[in-house]
Order: sequence, then structure tokens, then C-alpha cells
Amino acid sequence: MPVQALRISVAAAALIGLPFAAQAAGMPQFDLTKFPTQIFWLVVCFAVLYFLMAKAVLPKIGATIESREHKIQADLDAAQKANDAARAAGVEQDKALAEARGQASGLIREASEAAAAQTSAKLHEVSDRLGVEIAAAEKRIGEQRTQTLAGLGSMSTEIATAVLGKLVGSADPAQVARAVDEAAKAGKP
Amino acid sequence: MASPLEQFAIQDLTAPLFNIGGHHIAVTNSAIFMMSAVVLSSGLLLAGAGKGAMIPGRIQAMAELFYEFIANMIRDNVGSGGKKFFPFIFTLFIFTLFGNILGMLPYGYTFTSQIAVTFFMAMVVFLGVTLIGLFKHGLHFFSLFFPHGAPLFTAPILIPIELVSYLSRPISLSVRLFANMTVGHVLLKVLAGFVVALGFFGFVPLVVLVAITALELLVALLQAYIFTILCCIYLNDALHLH
Repeated sequence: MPVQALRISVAAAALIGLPFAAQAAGMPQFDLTKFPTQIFWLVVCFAVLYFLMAKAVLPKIGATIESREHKIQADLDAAQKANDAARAAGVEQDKALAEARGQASGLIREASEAAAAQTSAKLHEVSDRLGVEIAAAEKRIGEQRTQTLAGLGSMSTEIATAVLGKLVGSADPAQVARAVDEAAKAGKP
Repeated sequence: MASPLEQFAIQDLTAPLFNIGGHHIAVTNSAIFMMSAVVLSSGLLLAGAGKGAMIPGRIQAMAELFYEFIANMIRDNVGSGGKKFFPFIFTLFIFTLFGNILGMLPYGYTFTSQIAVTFFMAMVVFLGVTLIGLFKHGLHFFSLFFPHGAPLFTAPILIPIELVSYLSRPISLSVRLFANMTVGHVLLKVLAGFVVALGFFGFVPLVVLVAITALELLVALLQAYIFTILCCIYLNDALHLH
């Protein structure tokens, strides 16, 4: 940096040769007669500026910055609170949802069990009724069979009597009936 | 060609207003610029502090920037107990900064290029800081001149060194600012002389002059900052003894 170098060299020259050059070149900065007036104005101006800064400017800027920080902090806190509330509501909702789901599946299970029970009860009833009807029908069949079988004995006696009557001329129905009974008994396994 | 040092001369602009200890006090060119610095800076900062809006405008943002800049400087360099000196340090920075910057204006006068001004400010800071240290720590304050933990037999060497370095603080502090400002303005004046003297080829130094002006603006900011931060460091030494 030639500029910087130039600057430094001038500064060095000014500093080294300061006491001599000041007198020789008549540097106005070393004119002691001008010191009191400068110091007077410096003190006055500095005091005025200090007073203005300390009493008017700085407290006000400080208060502004502080209130802004407060507001930002309060906003951040509020946002945090809202976030927490939202998160809590989410958790609550999830819980409610899980509960409802559990309830629903319970209801479904109950309903399907009830339906199954009803179906099996109906099946039982129907099969019972059918059993009764079947039993009645069997009983009826049995009766008819015994009736028929009983009818068969007397019919065979009649047929045998008729056949004997044709062949022999006469037959004792009681004797024939006995013979038929014996034959039927003998024929039975 | 006029001497490049002529610009630093103090001129009375009015008849002497009054006498202090046999010295005539008149309004001088330097005094005009000191007052301008006070009026401009306090006007700007008062305007900036004015409404105290939650969302700052440009001027308020600038005022707050200055405030936080110095507040941070004190927090970092002075720490506890530095808050009391905030208004003083702030004023010191603003006054020096505006003095340096106003000097960059054409026909401006740089009151910070006066050793009388810088040395008085440095002396006030030096004496104030020393008194603060003495009041706060009593005789223990003098432990500042002997680094903690150094072997005792080094005391005859270390104490004079520390003492000289301590006593030279106001000189280094004031000469740094004064010399920087003086040299910058001498350089600008000399280069400006070349621009005129070289005629057509004067554009070469003119380009350099523009660059140097930018550099001097940087120096003006930097020296105000350095002056202030050194005051903070001295204050820290007095408050906390290394």
C-alpha cells in the first residue's frame, strides 16, 4: 500500500522531528498562547454535550432499546406458550382419537358377538323344532308301520281262509289265524 | 504556496469576550467547529432518540447503533462498574468522532488535530482514571505497577518500566490522535498543492487525493474508536487492576 507507506513516513517524520520542526516550521499546534482559549472552548463544548447526552439522549435511547427487548421477549414467550398449548391440544386429540378407536372396536366386537349369539340361538331353535317334527314324523311312521303290520296278519288270515275255503271247502278262521301267526313267527328271523 | 501547516492556525473570529487568568478568550475557528460538532451530534442524536419508536427509522437506527456500539465496548472492555461511565465514554466518542469527521469537510477545521485539545482530554481521562483507581483500591492500586506473579527480584526493573508506561499513557493517547489528524490534513494539503502545480498532469495526484480522502475518512472513524477504546481499557485497569 504505497498510500499507507506515504502516510506512515509523513507521520514518522512529523513525530521524530516534532519538537524541532514545530519550532522551525512554526507548527501552530505548539503555540502555547493559543492553549487557554482552546481548553476553555473544549471544556464548555464537552460539558454541554455531556449534559445533553447524559440527561436527554442516552436515557431515552436506553429506554427504547429496553422496551423493545421486553416486547420481543414477551412476544417470544407468548409464541412459546401458544406452541406449548397447540402441542398439548395435539396430544389431547391423539388421546381422544385412540380412546374413540378403542370404543369403536369394542362396540364392533360386542355387536358381532351378539349377532353370532343370536344366529346360534336361532339355529338351536330351528334344529330343536326340526328334531321335534322329525320325532313326531318318525312316531307317525312307526304307528303306521305297526298298523300296517297288524293289518297284514289279519289280511293274510283272510287270504289263507279264502284260499283254504276254495281248496278244502271249509276252514276254521280261528285255526287259520293261529297257523298264520305261527308261520309269521317262524318266518321272523 | 501557503504552508500546509497554516490550516492548523487558531484564529480569533471575534474580539476577546472575557479574560480568564489573563488570557483573552475569543470565539475561534476551532471553537466554531467544536460548537458545530456539539450542535450537529446532539441534534442528530436527539432526533434519533426523539420518538423512541418500536420500529426505528433511519436516524433512530443510527442513534441506537452508536448507543449499542459504545455500550458493547464498555461491556467488553470495562465490564462490571463500567456502566456509570457510559455517558462520559459516549460523549468522548461522539465528540472525537464529529471533530474528526467535520475536519474532512472542505474549509473545515479539525479541532482534534490540536495537541492542546487531545492532550487536555487525555489528561482528564488519565487523572480521572488514576483517581478512580486510588479511591476504589486505595494503596492496593499501586500493584498495577508490578505484574502479579512476577519474581520479586525483577521488581527494580519492572516497576520503573510499568511506571513509565503508565505515565506515558496520556502522551501516547493524545499524540496518537493529534498526529494522525495533523498528518492526514498535511498530506491532503500537500497533494492538493501538487494538483495545482502540475497543471494538466495534476489529475494524477488528484486521483491519489481522492483515495487519500477516503483513507482519511477511515482514519477519522478509526482514531475516534481507538481513542475511546483506550480510555475504556485504562478505566478497566483502574477498576479491576489487570
